[in-house]
Amino acid sequence: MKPTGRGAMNLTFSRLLPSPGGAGSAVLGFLILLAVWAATHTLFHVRPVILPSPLAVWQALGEMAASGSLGLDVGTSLVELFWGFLVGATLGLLSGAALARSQAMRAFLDPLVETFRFIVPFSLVPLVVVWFGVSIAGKIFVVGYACYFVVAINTAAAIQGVDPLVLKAAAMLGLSGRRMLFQVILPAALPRILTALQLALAYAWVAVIAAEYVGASAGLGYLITNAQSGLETAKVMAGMVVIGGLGLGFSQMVVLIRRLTVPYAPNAGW
Amino acid sequence: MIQPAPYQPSAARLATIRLAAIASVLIGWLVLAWVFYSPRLELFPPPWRVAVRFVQLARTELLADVWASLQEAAGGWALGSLLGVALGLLIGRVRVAGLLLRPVVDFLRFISPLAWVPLAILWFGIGYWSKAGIIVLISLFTVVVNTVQGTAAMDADTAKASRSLRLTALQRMQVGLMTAMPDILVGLRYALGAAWGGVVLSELVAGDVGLGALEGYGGQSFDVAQIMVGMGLLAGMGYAANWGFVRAQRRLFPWIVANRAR
Repeated sequence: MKPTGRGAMNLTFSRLLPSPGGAGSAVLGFLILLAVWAATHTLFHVRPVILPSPLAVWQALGEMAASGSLGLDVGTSLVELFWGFLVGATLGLLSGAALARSQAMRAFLDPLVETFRFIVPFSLVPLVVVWFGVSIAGKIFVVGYACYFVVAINTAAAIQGVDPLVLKAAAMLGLSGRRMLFQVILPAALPRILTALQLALAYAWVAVIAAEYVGASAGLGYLITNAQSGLETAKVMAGMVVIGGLGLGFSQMVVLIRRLTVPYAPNAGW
Repeated sequence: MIQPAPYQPSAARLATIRLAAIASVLIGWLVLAWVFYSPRLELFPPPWRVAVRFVQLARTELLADVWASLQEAAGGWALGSLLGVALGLLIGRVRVAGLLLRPVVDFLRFISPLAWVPLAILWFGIGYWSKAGIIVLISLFTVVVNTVQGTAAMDADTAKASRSLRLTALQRMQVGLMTAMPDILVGLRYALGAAWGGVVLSELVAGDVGLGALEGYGGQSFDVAQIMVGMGLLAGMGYAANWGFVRAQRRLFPWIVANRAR
């Protein structure tokens, strides 16, 4: 939104602020929230089991980090995220490409995707606990399933959405086969595919936490549910802060990858 | 924008392929059920066992579970969407609110609503609000983001026109709302889809009644057929909600093209 005639003073002021939607804005939001939180705590004397002070959460975080349990939980969650995302995104990219390239393939995969995308990934959690127990296989299953559909559907749309004029021009210039794929189709479709991967990574991170709520023995999701059943609210909030911080980190990572690989496509904030 | 591929199979052939897809799922299910068959522990029940379990459950508790899940999803979605649209309009159209609230939303949306489940249980106990609260958060964040996007899409001419027509603040809000409506509707539909995930997960963790709780009990007693009944019903409800939403949108806002494609 363009500021309309509110004076130059306002303009310079808004230039000092972090751009909305970005990481800087999120950090600012964290500070605002922290101030409100601290004020609520000192003014209203809420019981710590409902709302612990920011300091208590910080101490809980420090304690867990010092004892090494936090490192274990974060490590477990990250490993699950890595494998689940790898499996789900790879399968999604492959079937997305297949969906876009062949009509017969689309006729085959469309009904399957249309049916299965309504089966909520989190409703699989009890199932994989029965099938795989507390092992990592079940988590990979849920996480992969959670990010498969968004990657498949958007990859197909990205490849189909490549401007036919560009394809015709490239064909006229004599490109075909592998060069067509790597020098024309891929660069044109990549921005949207990266957006899909960014979404998928966010879904995958949520799915990791969700899969750890039930039938897990380590991980950030386990950490917060375990702390909740022990009424340790400070630990729950510390875990949430870590989850949010890592989520922010992943999203910044994808923004960076975007900037490096597709500098020609503008980054869409929200 | 679907580009016609050079090779175009006939409609009859496409229908056959479609049928083959459905058949392959059923056959795959049967094969897996046969491979993992064990007389003592049903790890992968065949379709008819799931159907039998469905009938058994329908005679006892299933209706109460469906009703509980439906209430949580609908209530949470409606409340979260209302709050989301209001907050989004505020952030998009009122400068001070945007400066203060947008960073907070920017920060909070990185903590997934589903990570709030344990905290919601601590705050609201095991009951309606600990679950509906999660759906409120899910819908709120999605709808806020889309509403802000939509209000930002308002072009300068419309803004100028509404100012030169001396519209009141309320009327200008209305113009903003209608400009943002296509984006809001996309957000509402997405939130409606995501709500079912929130329902099942929060019921799994804080389960007393609901389809997630049904699945949770099924998991504890190694009753895979019961879990599958829950999964199927959730998928059906999600499908029905999506269908109903698209239908209602066509009836209410026939001029909006958003959400037309699946």
